[in-house]
Amino acid sequence: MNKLILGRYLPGDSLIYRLDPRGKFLITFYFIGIVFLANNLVSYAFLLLFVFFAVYISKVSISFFIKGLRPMLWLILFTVMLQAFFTPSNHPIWHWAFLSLSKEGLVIAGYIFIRFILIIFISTLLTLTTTPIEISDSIESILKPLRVIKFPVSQVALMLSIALRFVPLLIDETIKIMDAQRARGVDFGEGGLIKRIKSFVPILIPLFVSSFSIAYDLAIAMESRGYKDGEGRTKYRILHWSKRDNITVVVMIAITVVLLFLRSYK
Amino acid sequence: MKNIISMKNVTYTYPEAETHATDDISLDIQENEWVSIVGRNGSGKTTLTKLIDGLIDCDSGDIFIDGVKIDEDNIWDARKNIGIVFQNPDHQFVGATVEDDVAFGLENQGVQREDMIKRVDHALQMVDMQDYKKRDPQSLSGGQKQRVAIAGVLAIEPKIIIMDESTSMLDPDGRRTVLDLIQNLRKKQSLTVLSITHDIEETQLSDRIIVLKSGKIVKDSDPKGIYDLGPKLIDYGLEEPFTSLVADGLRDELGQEGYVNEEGLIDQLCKLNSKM
Amino acid sequence: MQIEFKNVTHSYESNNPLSGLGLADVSCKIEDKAFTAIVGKTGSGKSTLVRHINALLKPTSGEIKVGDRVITPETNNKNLKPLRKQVGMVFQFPESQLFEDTVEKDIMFGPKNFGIPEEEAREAAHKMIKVVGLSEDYLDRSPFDLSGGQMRRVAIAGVLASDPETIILDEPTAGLDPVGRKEIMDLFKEQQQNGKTIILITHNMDDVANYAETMMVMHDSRLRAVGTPKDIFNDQDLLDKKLISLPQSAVFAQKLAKKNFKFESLPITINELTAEIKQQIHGE
Repeated sequence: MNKLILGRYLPGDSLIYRLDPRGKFLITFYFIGIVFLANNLVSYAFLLLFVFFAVYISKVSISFFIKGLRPMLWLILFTVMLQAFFTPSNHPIWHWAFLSLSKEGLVIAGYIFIRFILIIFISTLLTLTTTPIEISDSIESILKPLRVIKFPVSQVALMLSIALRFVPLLIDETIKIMDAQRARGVDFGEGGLIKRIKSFVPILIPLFVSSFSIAYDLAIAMESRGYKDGEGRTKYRILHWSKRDNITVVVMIAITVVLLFLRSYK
Repeated sequence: MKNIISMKNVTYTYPEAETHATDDISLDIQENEWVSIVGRNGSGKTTLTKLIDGLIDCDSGDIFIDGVKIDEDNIWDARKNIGIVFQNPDHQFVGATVEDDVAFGLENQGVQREDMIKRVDHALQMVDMQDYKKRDPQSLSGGQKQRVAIAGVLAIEPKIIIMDESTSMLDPDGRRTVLDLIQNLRKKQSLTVLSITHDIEETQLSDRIIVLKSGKIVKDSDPKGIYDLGPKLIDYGLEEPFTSLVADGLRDELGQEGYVNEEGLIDQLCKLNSKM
Repeated sequence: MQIEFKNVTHSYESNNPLSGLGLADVSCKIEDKAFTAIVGKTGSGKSTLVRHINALLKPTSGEIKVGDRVITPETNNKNLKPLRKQVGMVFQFPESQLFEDTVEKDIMFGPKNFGIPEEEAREAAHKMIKVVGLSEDYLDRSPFDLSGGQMRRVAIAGVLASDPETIILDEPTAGLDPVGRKEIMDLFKEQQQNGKTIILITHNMDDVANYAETMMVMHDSRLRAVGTPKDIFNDQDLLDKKLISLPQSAVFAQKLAKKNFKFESLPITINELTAEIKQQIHGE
């Protein structure tokens, strides 16, 4: 549970940390989009260079990104293998039954691999350098136009931030309940599928019960602190769009242009 | 002195419950008083505080906060006068960071941001947590979390603080810092404290102790009057004060009954020791 | 069943919120059938220490002997049931482990996991519900309809029902009122008199003075002192470093000592205190 790097915030300070989270959030999605524009070695190399540069100026150790890959490793390997062995080709280097390995296949597999690296690194960069609350603030801000159609944007944002806030608490609670049931003789990794599923009942029920009791306590606490329905609330936390965010946007446009140019490079 | 809280014949029964949670309770609490509310689990202590804060509506009777009778329309205003610090520090932390949590009550009241920043800083200073402003709650100890909860309450500048067993889940250090904090706050400003507790030491700090049993007030007096109950205190969810237990063991030597405070007991014992 | 720690170190994974060292080179023996209290500040390693006894955690280096069972870093997760049957554990706020639809089933859950036949487990449930001070009528009720204090008792009954030789208690009385607290502590003292080994984690120094025979002091993941409560509470060095606080009787004795009383060693219980005072007043 603690090995999952994707989605975790790492306290720190650098240019990347200081960027407006809304900008970071949108740019990350934008970048994931333009990754699919790359079509040859030079364009992929260019994007890799950019990502490594971003990682470098974030001052976050590269090891966190590599750790972030780990849970996805099987998915990546599976996809890459699939591409390598199943790409049809007239000039296979090696083949056996329905499997064939060709130069084209290897190249495509290589590109897929780079694509994975790019996407995982850039989204890990977002979550490592942006607190969950900043992400939920960004979502609130981005969804603001939906207020027109009576979508309860600020309530949803508060819900999201409370949910994020209680994740670590519920993880602690889960570990504690698991320990308590293991001490009472439950073996989680033992027996057939049915037995394994059954062994989670003693975890899930207490976890539900405590989630409800936390939710109840929290609702009472919020009401006692004057939370009504989100109407007439002011905001303590505000986001600042500054010059460096403008610069980032310009950089992204430049990258898109260069990328489009590199696409036709032979 | 004026009454800051006044309850007149308040009765409340939980849905599907057979007995009243509070049974015809009448009670006046004066401004700037520190009142302990004690009683065994299920005696109606928490119900009482929920009624005062309008979190539940009484079946019959009236409740006045700062002279105003509370009803559905003015309850949100009445609540601005009351802050509650609950038992479990983890279950009342709304914000993602310390400062966000302190600001929550102010946001609800629609306070302007510039004003909010000042009040958050000031509240954090009062509980000596200003260095933890940007921290997330998971990195704090239980006592620190409760201090943040108190800061959140102080930020809205209430007249009444209700401590609903706020120290019962803390280790001794945490409990000490929270109680010291409340004592210091009361030296600096006018503040009515209502504290639900099982901790005899905590009741010793208060001006007055109200004992509840089965939804009724069975005793209401200054601490000495309550401690004089001796072993009967156990029926009310309290233990006997330490000095009473010592005095009890030395009954023959001291030759007296009833509660003595620590200073008094030490004096008496020293006199006895020098006579011999 | 004797428990022995030999140079046990435990480090948490670097990404864990509790990151860092959990235990640093701890060696000690916990005597069979004794009542041992473990004290120390929050985060000092008390909980990490006891979780090694039933192999919920395994050492990063060193070994733990529980009876003739040895736990090392290489111990795998298979076949730990016999160990966990012998070592029962009452967690902090144990009521959160309840999940069955009746109290009886919940108490039987542990025993059945440990291979005790249905009928014997049922008998154990009927016996243990009374041991924890509730009547048999409670057995058919849902644990979720009970009060917090009653749920706590049911959870404790569920641990006792497997008839463990060693019972580990992690602040079992936290959040209870004074009467409930005393009843629960007396219950465990009685278990010890029936031949169980009791290991208690607590912040309450009066409980240590009143119930424990041995006391261990943890600080910064290290075991800093082991001894009888009387000796430990009279250890000036530990007090100066603020590694322990004193029971009320000792604090009171200190105050008397500033006046005209003299204590060779600080009394730690009320009985010791009053006996000492009497002796001095009567000039013996």
